[in-house]
Amino acid sequence: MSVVIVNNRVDGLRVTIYDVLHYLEAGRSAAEIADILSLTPEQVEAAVRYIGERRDEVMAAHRRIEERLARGNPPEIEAHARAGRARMEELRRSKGLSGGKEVNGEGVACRRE
Amino acid sequence: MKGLLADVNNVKQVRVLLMLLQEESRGEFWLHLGLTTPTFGELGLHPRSPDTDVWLKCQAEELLLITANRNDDGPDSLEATIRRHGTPQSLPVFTLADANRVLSERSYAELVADRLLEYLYDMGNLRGVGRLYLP
Repeated sequence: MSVVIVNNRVDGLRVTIYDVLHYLEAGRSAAEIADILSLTPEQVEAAVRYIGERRDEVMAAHRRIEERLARGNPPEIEAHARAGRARMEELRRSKGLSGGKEVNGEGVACRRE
Repeated sequence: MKGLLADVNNVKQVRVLLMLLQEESRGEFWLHLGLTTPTFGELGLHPRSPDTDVWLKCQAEELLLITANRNDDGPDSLEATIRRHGTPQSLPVFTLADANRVLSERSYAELVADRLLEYLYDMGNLRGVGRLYLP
C-alpha cells in the first residue's frame, strides 16, 4: 500500500514531515531517520518526497516551528526549574540524598569535586 | 503526577533521558519521585492516536507526555488540544526543543535530563502552564 501524508502526518502516525525534516537538516541518512522514528524506508521516502514537492510551504512552517522551539520557556517558567533545583537541594540535605550536584550562587547546577 | 510517557516521535530520546536520570548524579532524586514510565501500548494508545486522545489519556492517568511534536498549529494539533481542554489543573506537556541533539550530544542530553528533573521537582506549581520546553 502506498504511504499517504495527511495533515503533515506520515501514514497517519504520530510522526510528521517536520520530524523527518528535523533529522534531514541535522544530516541524518534516510536509514537513520527510519530507525530513530520507527518508520519504514517507504514512509521516510514518502515524507522526503512530500517535503520536496511542497518545499516553500513546508519550509515556511518548519521555520515557524523552529522559531517557537528556539524561544523556549519564558523567564517565569524558567524560575520553576530553579525552584525545583532548590527543592532537590533541600531534599539532599534533609534526606541525605547523594545527588552529587550542588547549586552555585547563580542557580546553576555544578558537579561537586 | 504518576509518570512519564514517551510520545511515538521520541521514544529513543526518552530512553536516553531515562538512562541519564538513573545515573549516579540524578538516580536518587529520580527514584525518590517514584514515577512510572508506561508505553503507548500499555495505556491502550496507538502510534496513530490523535493528539486529543493522547493528551486526555495523560491527564486521566496523571502522566507527563514528552514529545518532539513538530507540527503546524492546526485545529488538530497538540497546541489546539491544550487550548481547548486545558485547565489550571492540567499537567503540562514536555517538548524536546532539539530531538536530534538529545541523541547525538551527551552534554546536551544531560542538560535536558537535568532540566527535566528540576521541573519535575516543582511540578506542583507547573500545572496549567500548557507546554514546557526542554531544555
